[in-house]
Amino acid sequence: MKIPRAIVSILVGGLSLIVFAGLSVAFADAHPVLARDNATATPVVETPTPVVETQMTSGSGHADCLACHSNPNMIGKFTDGETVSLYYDESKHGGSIHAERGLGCRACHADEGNYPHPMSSQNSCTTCHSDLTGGTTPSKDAQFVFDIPLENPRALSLQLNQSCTHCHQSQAQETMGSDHERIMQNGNPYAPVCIDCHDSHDVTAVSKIDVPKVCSKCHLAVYTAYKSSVHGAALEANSNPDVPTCGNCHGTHVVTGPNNANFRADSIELCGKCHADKALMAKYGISTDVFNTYLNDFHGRTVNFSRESEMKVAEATCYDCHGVHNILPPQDKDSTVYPANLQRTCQQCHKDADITFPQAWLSHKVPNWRNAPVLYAVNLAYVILIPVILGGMILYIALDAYHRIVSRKKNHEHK
Amino acid sequence: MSINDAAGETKAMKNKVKPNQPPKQESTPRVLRRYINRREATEAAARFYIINGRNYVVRFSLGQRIEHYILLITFSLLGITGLAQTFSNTSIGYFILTTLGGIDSTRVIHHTAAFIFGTLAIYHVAKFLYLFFMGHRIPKMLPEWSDVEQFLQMVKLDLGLSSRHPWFDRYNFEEKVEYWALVWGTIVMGMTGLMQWFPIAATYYLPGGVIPVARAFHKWEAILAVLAVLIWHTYHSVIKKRNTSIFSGLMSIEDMEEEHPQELAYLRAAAAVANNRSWPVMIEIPLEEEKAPEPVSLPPAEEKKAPETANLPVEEKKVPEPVSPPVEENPKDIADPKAAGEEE
Repeated sequence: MKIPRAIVSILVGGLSLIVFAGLSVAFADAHPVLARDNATATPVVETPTPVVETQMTSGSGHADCLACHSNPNMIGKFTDGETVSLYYDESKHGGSIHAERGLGCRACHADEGNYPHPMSSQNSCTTCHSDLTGGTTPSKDAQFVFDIPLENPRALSLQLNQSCTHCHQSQAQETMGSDHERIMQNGNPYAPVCIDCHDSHDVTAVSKIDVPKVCSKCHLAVYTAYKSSVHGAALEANSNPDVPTCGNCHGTHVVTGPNNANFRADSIELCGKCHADKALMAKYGISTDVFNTYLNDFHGRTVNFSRESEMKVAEATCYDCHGVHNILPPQDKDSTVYPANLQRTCQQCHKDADITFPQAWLSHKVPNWRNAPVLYAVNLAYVILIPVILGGMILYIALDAYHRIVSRKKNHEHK
Repeated sequence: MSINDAAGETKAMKNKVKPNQPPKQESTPRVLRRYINRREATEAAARFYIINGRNYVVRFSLGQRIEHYILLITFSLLGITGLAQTFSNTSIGYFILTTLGGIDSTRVIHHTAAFIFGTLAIYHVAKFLYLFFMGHRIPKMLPEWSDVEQFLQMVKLDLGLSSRHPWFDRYNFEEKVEYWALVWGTIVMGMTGLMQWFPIAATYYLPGGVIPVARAFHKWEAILAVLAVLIWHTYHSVIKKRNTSIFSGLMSIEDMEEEHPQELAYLRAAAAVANNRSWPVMIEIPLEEEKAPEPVSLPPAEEKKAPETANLPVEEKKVPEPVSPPVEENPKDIADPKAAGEEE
């Protein structure tokens, strides 16, 4: 008899401890749903880094460079035989943001900006102006080919790209963690660097609306899909700044792809950032319930928990059902979530899903009398029944306990 | 208490008979007459124990106690792992889920516990059916009209309108409420749980809309069940009076007289005829507070004597393990409901 009593004491004591500990912790703070900061955020509009005043700035030497480089017949030749024009057309490139701020050639072409050019083989005036040393005067259309001691234009681009970091340090730092940088590290020299997106002589701050076009230089298939999506179409047609472009989901300088560990889990927050924004969604008549109904359901709850605890996310996220770049409104017949297409969409994971299976999902609707009467009734019934049943139990127990305490006191008095 | 006439109450109220006192009333004591067979009598006799000079009655068999242990563990596991998932956005839910190694491993635990729980439920029903149809036991856990009366009686007592304590049989209405709440909960949770566990199979036979409904049922019923156990069961079995019979199997005679006097009366009457030669034999089971003269008064000196030949229907054992009873020992009542009857 003694051992069981001990067991009971331990069980009851432990249980109450757990309950009280739990309650105290639970009341201490509740996990907000959108707590974590997201790395792949919307593109931040950078305030331009103050330009360091050096000999490179304010057009110093700009005109000097153009003394030669305004000649369209100057050609650079790389060691693999590829050629590049060394001509700089000021009328074309005058609109670059650097030109507006008065940065000259040597701001970027720092080393080569010195004359004679340290790298190239021909670096004296007489290479072209041979007449000065008694040679024949070169005809107006004569081509001058200069050897560049680099393998190909890409090698030159990569080398010159280094000069961006002199001023744009924070952005350069950001790219260090990006997938583009990783590809570069893996040995692909064609992985994009600064000038691939921002251009070199036409350097611009890429506006949000232009981002997809910039990315499409490499990711053409993705761009094609995006263009026809509900987001992309709005961007193409009206230049609507509300829709997400590539950078909103994948990051601007910290470009991350779907293979990134957290990308999948964090994607729900990406979508939620706009689709849970009441003011923004009201403009388009889209319900903001989508986010909460998702989080309250099996998939969402699991994904959200795994996201918070940094565990692997296996369950469906937004884009598993709605598509990735080709997201279409659910009324669209081509949409993956159009009723007729739902079974196939579910079957991506639930291979044997029957035709009735998609009905198990309430289409992001908050259940009410009209759209889910049975579910609503069950919820309502329990909300009423639980307090009634438990209240009745507590009432009876209170009565019984009171009676016991009173009669025990009486007994004591009698004795 | 198949026959527990309401008429008897008034009588008993008039003469407040104290236990162990011979009834002194004008009418004959109210009794239930019933034929019992040898098996019932020997089983009843086998339920009296003396340990260290104290008298006990076997209340739960080893099998029933094991059932309760399994139920206790699986129910707690299911409650903790399930509610942690429902409230995964709270700190405590998050803490439990991460402690258990993530939501997926929590689900593995939940499903494993559910499987054991379900197996236990099936075993329980199978055992009931076997004992009912093959063993011809009388089910004692079924709700009866007398439960309502006893409930009202109890309320009157608690309100001070009456001083008479209801005369409970093997299971009082408090235990029956607990038991049938568990049965209802098991059916609801089992069905809705399976639907969520195997949603694809479920939607082969049912419309898809049942899945969210099952989800709602599962969540609410879990909250109700856990709270009901914490409130109802904890009060009646732990707080009101610590009742360890479900763990030890034994209940002292004094406690039996207080809490299950009707069952004790039957056991005494049945045990008294255990050595009868012709079967079946009619016994008289006292009803309500009018007690039959104690047939079982056990002088402690008789310990260790072989009870076979003795007239007293008492088996004395040192060890509290009631392993010896050949069948499920509860005599006339169905063995089935009690183990589960404790938990919800």
